[in-house]
Amino acid sequence: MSLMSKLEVIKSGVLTTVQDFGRFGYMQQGMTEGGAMDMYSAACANILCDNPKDCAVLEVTLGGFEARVDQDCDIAVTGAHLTVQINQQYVESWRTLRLHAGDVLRLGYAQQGVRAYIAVRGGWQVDCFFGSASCVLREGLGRALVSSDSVLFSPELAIHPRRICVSQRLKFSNKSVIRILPVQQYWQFSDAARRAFFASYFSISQQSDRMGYRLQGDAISYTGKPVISQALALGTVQIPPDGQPIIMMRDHQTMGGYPKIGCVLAADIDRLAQLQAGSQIIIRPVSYGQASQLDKVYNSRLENIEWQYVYG
Amino acid sequence: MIKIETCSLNGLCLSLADEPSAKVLDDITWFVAEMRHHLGEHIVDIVPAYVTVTLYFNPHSISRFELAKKLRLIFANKPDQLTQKAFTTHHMPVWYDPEICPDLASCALSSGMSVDQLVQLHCQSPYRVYAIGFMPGFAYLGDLPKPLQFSRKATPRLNVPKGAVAIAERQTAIYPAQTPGGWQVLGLCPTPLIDMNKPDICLLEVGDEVIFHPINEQEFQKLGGEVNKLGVLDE
Repeated sequence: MSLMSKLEVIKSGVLTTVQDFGRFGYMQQGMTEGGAMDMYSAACANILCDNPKDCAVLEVTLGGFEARVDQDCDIAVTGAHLTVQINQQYVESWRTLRLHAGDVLRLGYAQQGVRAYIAVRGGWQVDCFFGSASCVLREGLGRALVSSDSVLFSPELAIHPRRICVSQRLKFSNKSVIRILPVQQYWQFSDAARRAFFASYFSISQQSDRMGYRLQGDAISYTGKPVISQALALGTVQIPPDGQPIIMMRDHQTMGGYPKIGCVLAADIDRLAQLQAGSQIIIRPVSYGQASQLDKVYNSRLENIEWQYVYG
Repeated sequence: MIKIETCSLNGLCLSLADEPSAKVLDDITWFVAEMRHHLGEHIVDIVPAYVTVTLYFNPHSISRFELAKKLRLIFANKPDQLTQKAFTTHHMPVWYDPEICPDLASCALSSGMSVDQLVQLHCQSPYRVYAIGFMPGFAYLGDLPKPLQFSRKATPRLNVPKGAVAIAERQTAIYPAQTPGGWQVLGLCPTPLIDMNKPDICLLEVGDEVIFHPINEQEFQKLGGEVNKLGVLDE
């Protein structure tokens, strides 16, 4: 028989929550999708532990996380660039790590990127709500981890350690191109407003979280017809009256009444999720055909994460 | 005629009218039921709201062009007169007490009505559910009679309690759970709006009808209302 093992949180960091790939089909009841902000990194952490890619992981925001395990296990840390230590020994991220009973895992603060992911071989044994373990604080689904919380897992046999190919790990940049599909009120913005939207750099504001990213830059004015509140999709870029765009992220509200200029591609949602406040982005429009092609590329990258065994 | 627009890679937004009305809502309710019936296998989520229905579809099972074609076909077969009343009517009890909900008195004062008149007016007409959003189970109900149309509070409250019955502009609503909010709170409803243990968590559905009726403190408690949490409604 196998008893449950546990990871005991010593320091929870700014915000650590359980996330998987989110819940679908509940927006009509006002529930958001949720899910790992950077799904690619979350999937990589799982693949390194030989889990299905959409298993629940711990999403550690900005680092500063510390925990002890009471049983031998394989784990992996991916996502934001930060230091990883086992009992104060520095170890690599983006690879399978063997922890022994009593070992302390410590994540430093994020030097680049925002969100790190911790997966365990066999998956974290956590509560599911409506088919997903994703925590949505605003909806009271799950809660943020605090020190002395325990997250359970079932002990599994060790696997041969793997690593994600260096070329397939996250690359960080302070200036990123974010691609959008023009939608709905796009054609009601003036030519000048659209030009300004695509010509200028926007910076990610401090008021950006799992719900939405607020951008700061030249104000984009809307002179079209007022919008009656309607459904909001992940990635929708809304232009409120102050002209500063808001991008709907994983925990977005399901409805909104601001004009929409576009919808960020799924692959770029992952990249946005790793941009710290103050990072600069420039927005580019793509056609539906291009967006659909880029989405296929993104999905195939998620399905075929490139990893190799670690020898020596 | 319906307008169909792309709202995301796998989302279509259908607009049925320019202005919300009970008639448009009936069309939307009918349309949503037809879509579920005919297109269920392709659909991930359907979100109706005011004058639109947004459809999230599975791109592996249908293209947006095929889907749009099917949607137009369904709509073309809409009967001119929707004969059946397709919605549920909910009678919701509300404990209106100016000592517990101070906005009740201030709204009455600024409208020139007595508290009783204001309560009577709020309970007089049936409201329809135009949309569900903002938080799980939060139903936007409308339209309020003109004298009850007040703007939102200048500063939102940090805590509006679960069950708060509130008004803002043309709409009224019941808060399904405690949350920050800027609406004027008139009363408290003891009936739970969400049940997280059910697959359909919401009591109300878009298109449904809601009629409020006043109850007193004893009835409120008997119906399971939580009085001990009301202290949060201080200014």
